[in-house]
Amino acid sequence: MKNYTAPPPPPPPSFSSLPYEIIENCLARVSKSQYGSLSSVSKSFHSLLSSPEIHAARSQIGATEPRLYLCCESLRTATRCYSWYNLMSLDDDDDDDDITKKGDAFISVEGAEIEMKTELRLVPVKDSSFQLRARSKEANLAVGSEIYQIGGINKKGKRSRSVCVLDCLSHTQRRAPRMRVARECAKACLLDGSIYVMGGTRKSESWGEVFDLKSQTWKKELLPSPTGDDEFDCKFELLVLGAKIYVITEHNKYAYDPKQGRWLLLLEMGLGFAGIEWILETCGVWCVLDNLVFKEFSDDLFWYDVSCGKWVIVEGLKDLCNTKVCCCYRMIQLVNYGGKLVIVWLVTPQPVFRRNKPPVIREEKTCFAVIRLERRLTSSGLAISGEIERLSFSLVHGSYNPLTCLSVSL
Amino acid sequence: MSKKIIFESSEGESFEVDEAVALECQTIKNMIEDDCTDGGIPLANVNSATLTKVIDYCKKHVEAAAAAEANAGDKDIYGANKDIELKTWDEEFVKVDQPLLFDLMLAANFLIIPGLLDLTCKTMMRGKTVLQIREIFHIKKDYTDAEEAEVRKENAWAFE
Repeated sequence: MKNYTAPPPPPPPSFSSLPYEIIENCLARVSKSQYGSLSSVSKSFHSLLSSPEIHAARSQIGATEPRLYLCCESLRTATRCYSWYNLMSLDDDDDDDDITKKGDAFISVEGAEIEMKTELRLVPVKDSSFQLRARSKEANLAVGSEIYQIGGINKKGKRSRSVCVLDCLSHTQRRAPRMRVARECAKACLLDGSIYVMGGTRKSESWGEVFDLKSQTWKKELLPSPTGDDEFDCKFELLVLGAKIYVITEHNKYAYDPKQGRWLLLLEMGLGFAGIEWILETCGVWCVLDNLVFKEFSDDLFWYDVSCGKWVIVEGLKDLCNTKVCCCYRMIQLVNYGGKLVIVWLVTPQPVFRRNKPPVIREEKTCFAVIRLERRLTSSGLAISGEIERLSFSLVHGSYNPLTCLSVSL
Repeated sequence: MSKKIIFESSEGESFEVDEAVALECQTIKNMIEDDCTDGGIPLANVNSATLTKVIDYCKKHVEAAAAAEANAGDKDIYGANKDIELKTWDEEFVKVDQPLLFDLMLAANFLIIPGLLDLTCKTMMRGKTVLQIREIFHIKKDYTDAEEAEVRKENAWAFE
């Protein structure tokens, strides 16, 4: 380390003569939403902004941002096909030189009325020319900037062992080593650099498998079923809280601690989690965010209070409920969107019948609400309130059926 | 009495700081560990005006860290207030003219002060238009108008 004192020439204030790392440092700290505008500065900017290096720099300083990927069933093709989509703004006002964050992209709450401000367009995720396909009944898991697509039904209509990884930076797919057994509708979760895949197979001896992300290999040891016996084909949900994995069935709750490598049956009285089996209900959606379980049910958003084993309403979201009243809708997903919660639902408006006139048929649309959550400690314990930051929608035009939504970090 | 470190700016002016303050710079920290700081550290590419600001920044952040540690016991569970105060201070700190901001960024990069590098880089880019960026950084537009429009279109992601 002798070079500390060697005097480099005084740098003139010009980017072109600035060290490359400084340019990279600056660009890595700008929101990705502005990369479009920034790319138009010059060709060298463009190539830097689309390079893997800039992503590495972003990851290093912790400046990655969440981005939503929507998996849809296409309704316009003869055969069923599932594809991935990004969401792109429709009302891009081509304000070329404006790279400052546009304030109007956020919704304003006027009384009880929430304006659906931004319309989004679905953009197929393409690998140069091919639209990237997804399989039906696969387990999808976002891992950093990638989406692991595990098992599912293959072209021949059979259960699959394959694992396909979509790299959301380059929009290319690669194959990961196949699972030991074929699975459909398996559940997958991420804990400590490993993917745990469970269920979806009739072979109970290989009920679960563990994939090591670093070495990209399946671990030799299989994961036993929570009961340890051959019969574990009941419906379950999988969630990670803290350093443990929980399997929730209608009657029992099990915890798996990877360090101990065994399942524990949670007793209702002893270890709590009473009523958490509500997440099994099919007409609602749930997700884990900051070690808390959230669930959307019947227009309201709830969180699970482990300390008392109760579901508690998230306060401050009356306006969101009001947008759902008087219309048919189907919940698609709750997503952990970089620490915020995104609710995705499909609205099917009722036709408006008019006397002597044809009924007004309004368009189906997929809605996205970004909710910022706040925790407060009150005298009666933890209280959680939410604030709608943004509400967007995408018109369906009879062309797609949204199935699931994920958030990756780019 | 804490140990002192002497910096020498490009103009040859000497600045005496507490070792704790100097330790905020990763580069200096390495030098202190290697025990090669005797007789002062000449910083030939950092001028006095910039060095004064850099020392201010390090001092403030050392003080803030010490205060945070002292109050660690009765911090509210989210510990937000102190952060806000320091953030406001940071914001004021970078309200300087463009050349000084540049020099601060370069100094932060050279001395390896992650917080200051982050702050100055962000400030450098914040609220700039494409035209301004070309102007400030002396970059020539090498696109045709059509190419530029195409590039913008393919990158215009909304949902993030």
